[in-house]
Amino acid sequence: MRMSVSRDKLRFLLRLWPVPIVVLLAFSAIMLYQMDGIVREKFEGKRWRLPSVVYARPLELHEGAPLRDEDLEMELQELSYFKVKDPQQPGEYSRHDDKFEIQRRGFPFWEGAEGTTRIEFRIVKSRVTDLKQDGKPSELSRLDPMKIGGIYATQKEDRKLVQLKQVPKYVIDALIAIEDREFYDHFGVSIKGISRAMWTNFKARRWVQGGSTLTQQLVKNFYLTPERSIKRKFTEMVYSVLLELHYSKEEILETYINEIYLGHSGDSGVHGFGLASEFYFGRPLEALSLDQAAVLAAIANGPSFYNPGRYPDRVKKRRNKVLALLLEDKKITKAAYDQARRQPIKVRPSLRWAPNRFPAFLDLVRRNLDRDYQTKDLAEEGLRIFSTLDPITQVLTEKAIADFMRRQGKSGGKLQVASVVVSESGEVQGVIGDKVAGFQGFNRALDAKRSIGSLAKPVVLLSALAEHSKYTLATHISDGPVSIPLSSGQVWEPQNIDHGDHGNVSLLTMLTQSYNRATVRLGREVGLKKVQETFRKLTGSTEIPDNPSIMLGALGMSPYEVAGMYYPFFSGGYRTDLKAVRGVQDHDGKRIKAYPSKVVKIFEPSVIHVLQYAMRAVIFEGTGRAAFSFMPGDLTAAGKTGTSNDQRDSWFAGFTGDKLVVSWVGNDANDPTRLTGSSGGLHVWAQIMSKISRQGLTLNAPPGVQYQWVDNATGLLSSADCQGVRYLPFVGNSAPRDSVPCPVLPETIHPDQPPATTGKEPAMLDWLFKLMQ
Amino acid sequence: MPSKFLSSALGALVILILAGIANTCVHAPEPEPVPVEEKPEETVTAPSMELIREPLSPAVQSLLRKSQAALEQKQYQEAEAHAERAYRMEGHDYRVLFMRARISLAAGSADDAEQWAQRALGTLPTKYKTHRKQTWEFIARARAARGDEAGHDEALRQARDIR
Repeated sequence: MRMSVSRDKLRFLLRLWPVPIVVLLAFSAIMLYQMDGIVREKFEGKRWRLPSVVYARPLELHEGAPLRDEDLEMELQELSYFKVKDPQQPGEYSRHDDKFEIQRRGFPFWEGAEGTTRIEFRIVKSRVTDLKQDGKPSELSRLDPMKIGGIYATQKEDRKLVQLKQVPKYVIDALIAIEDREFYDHFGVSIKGISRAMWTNFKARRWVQGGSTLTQQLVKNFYLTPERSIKRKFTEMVYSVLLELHYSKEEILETYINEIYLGHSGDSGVHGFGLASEFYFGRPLEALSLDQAAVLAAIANGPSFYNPGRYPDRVKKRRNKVLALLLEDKKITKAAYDQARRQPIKVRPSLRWAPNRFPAFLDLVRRNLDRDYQTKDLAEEGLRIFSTLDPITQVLTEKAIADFMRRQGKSGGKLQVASVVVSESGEVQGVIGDKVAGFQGFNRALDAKRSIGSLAKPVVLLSALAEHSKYTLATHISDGPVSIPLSSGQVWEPQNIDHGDHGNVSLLTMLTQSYNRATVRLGREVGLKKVQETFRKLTGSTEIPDNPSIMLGALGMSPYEVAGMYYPFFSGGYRTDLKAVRGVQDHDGKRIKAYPSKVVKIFEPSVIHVLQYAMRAVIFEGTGRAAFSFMPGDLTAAGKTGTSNDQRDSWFAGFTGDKLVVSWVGNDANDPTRLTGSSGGLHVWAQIMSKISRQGLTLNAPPGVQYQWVDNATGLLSSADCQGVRYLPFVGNSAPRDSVPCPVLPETIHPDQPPATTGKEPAMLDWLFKLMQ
Repeated sequence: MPSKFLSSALGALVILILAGIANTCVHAPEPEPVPVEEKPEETVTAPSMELIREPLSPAVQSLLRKSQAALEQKQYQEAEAHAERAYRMEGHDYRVLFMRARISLAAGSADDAEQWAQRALGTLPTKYKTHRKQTWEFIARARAARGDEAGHDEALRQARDIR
């Protein structure tokens, strides 16, 4: 009886044998459905997170454009142009004495796409001349812009998407020949390939060949993690088959060509053949030669193992294997094979783009864009950001700072430097955030808010000059003791840096010699509210302290903010938002956002002209005289030194005809530096200017300004043939009415005149100025 | 054909065997919309630039021609891009600055138009009286466009006072 029950149970169980199979099949079907969804969702959706690419300004070439040959060569090398005897391919150039020939690559410039073109010109006396484009005289041309960095998501992956139709046939043939010869015949997984690989590995007693198809390789990179496990391998095979079921071979191949990892630049991965072509050979994929295509195909197997920069012999061997397979498959002729085989492995000299090589500037770009874009868009949408960086200016500024630090020797250990360079149109051309070029930490140019010291004095003077019926450069004011009661109940009694009293001085001398007491007295006369208002107008900031000490610069500003404040002095009275970005294109080259320059008149050009005259005198005869130890004598400039309390900060801010530069020297601990504005910031500033500026400051009097000869001692009208006079600008009819007879010569040196330039030199300069007018 | 059928059948079999073993899920984030600039309307005429005899580089002239052509086509962004490039090369020339003023007004930005025109005036030698007059008339239009009637009258008075 018991036996019978057991047999029945067994029979019953045996009858249930299909159940586990059905369950397994049902489970498999559900999993398959889920996986199919994953495969399709990613492949049909946005396939990649494309980092935004930041470009420098394109180098403009036109008749008379200032350009030194060494700077041009530096730019070409940074752009990965190959120097050859006779440039034929895009990305090549030649130099014969002063003549340059460049096969410029095509590029989707901000103003419109331009194709490949041959540019010829000469550089004579550091100016471009005889410019030709494609053999014809040209008014204007330019190089493609340098890629200076990217804005990434967490994982740094660079790629340049290409369509399959853009890819030369021999690139595809080479890839298929070496990686997956049965690509067009299998269904995603190649049983033949796996068997062959297993047999080869068995024979070799080690892992020498993988049996993965291109589809499997794509799945591995595109959908899965690098984990090596049986589970992942199975998933890879399922996904591969699903991909093949849904999509054509061409779609899979195009995705592979854009996805494949092909090397590393700094801390960023180089993905896809489009980018790898530019990375290794400095030319677009369409322009690759057969041997170069074979090199890329060779690298695909293992970009580290087959690094062409590091292991050229190893790469050559594999490249030749690719070429042999192409010949065997009759994809190339014997002649093409022989020719390609003869080529050496030649890649860009420095296989490093050094992304974010100018981190302080890129930081500014990012802050500019943060107003209009979400971080996610910047990191994933593949935007093209056209920045204002002038790499030549930036690199020369870095060199000037390195020179300055070298001169400081051991005493410069704790010193730090920051600098900002601005063009006439208000574009930021260079940013230095640290004494070490390329340092990626604290960006002092933007974030170090330090006391600006005497950089505030032109602001006080401008507040006075705006009341031109009351104040002119000839107005005299006492430099004697001054005391101002503060709201705290204390009394502020500022001192001059030499603790001296210089008697009655003109406003011109007050600025050129940077007298504190005269400045504070002037500010008190004009009124703190008006000085604050001037600060507000110049900076665009509403947070100006309600404290008289702002007249001597007791307010914290970054070098970048100072550049913004000084820009109206440079531009003739117009304020602008300094900009680091010209425009943004989407990934397809469509303009999506422009950042055109805008100006707002905040002071009359006539008033600013008078201020410019005084700031020019600072450099000719005042605290900025040391500038000419570094600058050529014909590079006229205007500016102002700044030193904060206890010499903690040393500043110089000033401009020539084409550049505005602000330099700060100090240390992060805010300790005294033993440097004044004249010995720290000014030295850096002058060294930078001597390298980057090509145009001296010309003071052309705008309408509403008249010049008069004025007696230095009294500030009254005089005449050109008297001694101790100078030719001063006045707004409208503000010139003194009374005159003094000639000669009125002080017996001793008047405090109004600095010892080194008393009397004659300014007058000589003024003569020259008058002659030029 | 049979080999293709065989491949498909083999593929389906492999899927069924392997599907139950593994699954992985990857999600691609949706892109955020990117702002696009609006296209304004209207264009304006300018005082004759040929009468200005101050030297101007052929490169800048060429860019101004392109800018003018785009302005006539009411392609303001295009016109601005060329004028901006010219401005970077020559930021102190009346012709460049006035072109920027015209583009701004045509593009509906009367405030910017006046600022550029004021700046252009500042660079224009006093001998070009006709241009000064026309520029003040332009400023009057810009002020009228933003509803500043008093400013408009004042600009016209300035224009009339130029003799």
